[in-house]
Order: sequence, then C-alpha cells, then structure tokens
Amino acid sequence: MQFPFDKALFDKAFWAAIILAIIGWVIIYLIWGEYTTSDIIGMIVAVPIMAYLIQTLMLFNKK
Amino acid sequence: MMKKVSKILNLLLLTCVASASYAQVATDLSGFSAPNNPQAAVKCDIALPSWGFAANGNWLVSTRNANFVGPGASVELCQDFNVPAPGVSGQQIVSIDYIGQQVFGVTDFYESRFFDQVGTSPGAQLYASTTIVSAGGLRTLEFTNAFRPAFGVTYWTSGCGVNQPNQNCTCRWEWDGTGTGFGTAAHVRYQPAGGWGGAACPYWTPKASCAFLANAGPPEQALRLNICRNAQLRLDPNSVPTMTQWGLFLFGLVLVTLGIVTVYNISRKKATA
Repeated sequence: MQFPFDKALFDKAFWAAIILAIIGWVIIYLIWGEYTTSDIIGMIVAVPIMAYLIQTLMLFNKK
Repeated sequence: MMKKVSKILNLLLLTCVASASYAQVATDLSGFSAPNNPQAAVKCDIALPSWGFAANGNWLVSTRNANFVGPGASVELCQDFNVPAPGVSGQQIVSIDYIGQQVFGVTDFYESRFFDQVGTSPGAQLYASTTIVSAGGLRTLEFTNAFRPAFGVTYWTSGCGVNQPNQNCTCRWEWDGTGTGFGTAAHVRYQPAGGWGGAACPYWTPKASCAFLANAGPPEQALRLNICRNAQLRLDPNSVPTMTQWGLFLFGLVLVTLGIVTVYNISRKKATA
C-alpha cells in the first residue's frame, strides 16, 4: 500500500486538525468536566492521524 | 469522479465522528448491571457493586448502650476491613459509607479515622478526615490521593460523631448482625472523661472483651466500601490510565484513514490507466 503525502497539504491539514483538537478539548470538558491522562495521550496520537486523513481527503480535490 | 468520491468520503467521516461521540457517552454502563447501592459522587466509568456488610434490615437498633457510655465518657469502636484484590486493573476504592442513624441527635461534626493493623488490633493512625458527606443514615467519606485504601491490605476504621468543645468522639453507628466478611470483630477504646484507656476496658480491646459492651449488639459495624472501575481519572500521580474510549476512537480513525488511502490509491490507478 502506498501512502500519498503532500507536505504543503499536510501543513494545512495539520492546522485543521489542531483546530479540531481544540474543539475536542472543549467538548471533553463540557461532557466530562475534567481532563485525564488518557485525553492527553489520545489527543497526541489522534492529531497527526487526523491531519493525515484530512490531507488525503484534500488530495482528492487536488487536480 | 474524484470530487464525488471525496464528497462520499467526507460524509462517511462525519458519520464516523458522530457515532464515535455518541459511543463515548453511551458505553459508560453498557453491558454491566446497575450498582445496587448509592455511589459516591466521583467520576467513575463504571460503578461496581460495593463491598462490605449489606443492608439486611437486621441492624442493631438500640445502639445507645453499645456505642455511648454517657456524658464525659465515650467509646470509639473500630472495625477492620480488607477488600480483596479484584484481579482486574483500573479499579479503586473510592469511598466508604458508615451506615447508621443519629439516635442521639446531630453531632457537631463527623470524623473518620483509619489505622493500620498491629497483630489483630488497630495500630497507628494513618489518616483522619472530617470531610464527611451526610445523607440520611449514611455518612460517606470520599477517598483522595492523600489516603486511599489499597486492595488486599487490612485497615481499621472508625466513624465518629464528634462533640465540641471536648472533642469527645461518640460513635453512634448501627451494627450489622450477620456479616462475616471483615474478619476480626470490632475493637473498642474507652474514654472515661479523659484520656483513652481506663479501668472499664483496656486501650483498643476486642469489643467482646470489654465488659459493658461484650453483649451489646452484633460484633461488627455496618460499613460499605464503594469501588469504581477507571475511577478518579484525574491528572495526578495515582491516576489510573485507560485507553478504552480513546483506544476505540483511534482504532476507528486508523481504519477510516487506511480505507480512504486505499480508495485514493484505487482511484489514482483508474485515473492513470
């Protein structure tokens, strides 16, 4: 399996993932009222994966 | 073509994120029966059934003679407990309930004490707290990281109503007549208008050996220890890490990513063919 990668798109996607992460932090706090160790670990792992996912989606639209 | 695929994938992604959010809320207690006791107001992923003497309607009602000797003198009754290790990680003892009624009226405040065990008696005091939540016949202490009983270790505890200004500790809790789970029967220390210990019964003596208490009520105090799974997940050194919900989310995220990469590769091949 080939993993497509476009650095310029990934940079944009990474910022989008960061914004999603901030929204996620707010939602976590609203629902559970606290942050846990697993939230930090989970978010650190999830952000790059989400950024790559968004980058791949953006590749579909790239000519 | 590519844009259509992109739209479909975006829709799928939104569906996944929405369902993952719902799953985080919905799976808290799924698959487990509801606990049969009131739980302390702590953050628990799953509140497990409590451990200790169950309420069976057979408590000693006339606790006056058993638990209080009279003005200027008092007794402190101490009960041991040892919660077996659950064999499953991510569980903590989160609170203790002292079960009883205030048959002598409301005291100035309540105090819970914990001791280690020396031989078969209470030893050194490990912890004391007056942060007790009262609700009906329950006095509940929520453990913090300052002190939290460990599984498989024997502790002794006393729950006291404290009267000022002399700080006389008068234990007024009801006692369960049928429990056998706590091992050693209750111990008592007697305060005859002064320091602990006296002629009536020695310091921390078994209740059965203390003359005026020997036949007063069942041998053990009604206690309840509440246990949670994945409890107290706060940012502190003793937090119990769990990746249950995050693990599911990440697993789904990786699957979706791999799926989209696969679709992208296939579409690229078709486009270049």
